[in-house]
Amino acid sequence: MALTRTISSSDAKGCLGRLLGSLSSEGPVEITRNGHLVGVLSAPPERARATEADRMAELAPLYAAGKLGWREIASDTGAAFGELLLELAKQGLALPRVTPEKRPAQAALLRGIFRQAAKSRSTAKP
Amino acid sequence: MTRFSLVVTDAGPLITLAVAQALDTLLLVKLPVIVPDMVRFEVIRDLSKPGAQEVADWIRCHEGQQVHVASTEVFEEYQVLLAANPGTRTKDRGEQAAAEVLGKVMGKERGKEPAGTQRGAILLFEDSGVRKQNFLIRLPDEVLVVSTSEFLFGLESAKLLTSAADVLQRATTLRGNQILERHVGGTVATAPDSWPARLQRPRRRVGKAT
Repeated sequence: MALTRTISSSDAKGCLGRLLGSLSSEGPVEITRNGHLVGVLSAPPERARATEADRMAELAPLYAAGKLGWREIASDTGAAFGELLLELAKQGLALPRVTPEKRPAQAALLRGIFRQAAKSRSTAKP
Repeated sequence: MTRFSLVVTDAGPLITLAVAQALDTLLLVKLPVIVPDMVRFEVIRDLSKPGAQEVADWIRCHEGQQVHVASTEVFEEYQVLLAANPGTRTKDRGEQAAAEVLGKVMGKERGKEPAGTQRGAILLFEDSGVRKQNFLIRLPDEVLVVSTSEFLFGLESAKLLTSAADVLQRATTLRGNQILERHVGGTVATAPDSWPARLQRPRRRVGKAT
């Protein structure tokens, strides 16, 4: 188990830059004053480095360009799909369009479903 | 003859159509619309999110008529996990529930229907999600995988919808979209200065300079 580093507040003042630079590789530092622990300096958690909104703002263009799927974004940000739509709207981006491949029989069935619905609608009209 | 159902496989299509105020387009193909319970849960677990309340209201309004919420073991299992750990994510369970529902739809009342009647399903996906579904491999001809945009353009080509592009555009347009406007901390009329200029309404002059 790694030992937590400890440094007095007066020493920390003199080497703050070096301490900050070492946080990600060497872990947090406890800061003491008059021998008592008064604070802990640590690197931010990975997820907290960018706020969820910032992250969504980064990912929305990739989604709109078809380079990233919604599932990946959801798993990265924990956001809801509506929040992605909101981000697309803010950035003036459009939804990606994907047409799944179909075998000829499937394509014919799909056309038939739409045709049938249109027919039943026109016969239902007075 | 094949009897089809429309199975909504994830939250994406429902939220897209809700935000575009076009959920009723799902009813235009005159097929039973099946929403797996897991998918409904994914949508409505936080009603404060854009489109969630509209989907909840729409399902409540049509359930038992053309819309059916299908129970799944996937959701039952998820509820058990959720009780043990409230932080359990829904990760991919919507699609798993859809696969379970598909199995039931295709096997439903087999042998009880008139000779020559088959079951089929349209699986409706959010566009980006349609590429990465393992269970889509080797689906029978009667199972049709359709993306939200493809569904809307199909309606348009059958003259059941005036413009699919308009619906898709409405889902990602802030100005004039009351559902999205609610979620940016005010209305467009009171848009903060941080909004991009194109989203801000031109300010109307009050009074006339003399």
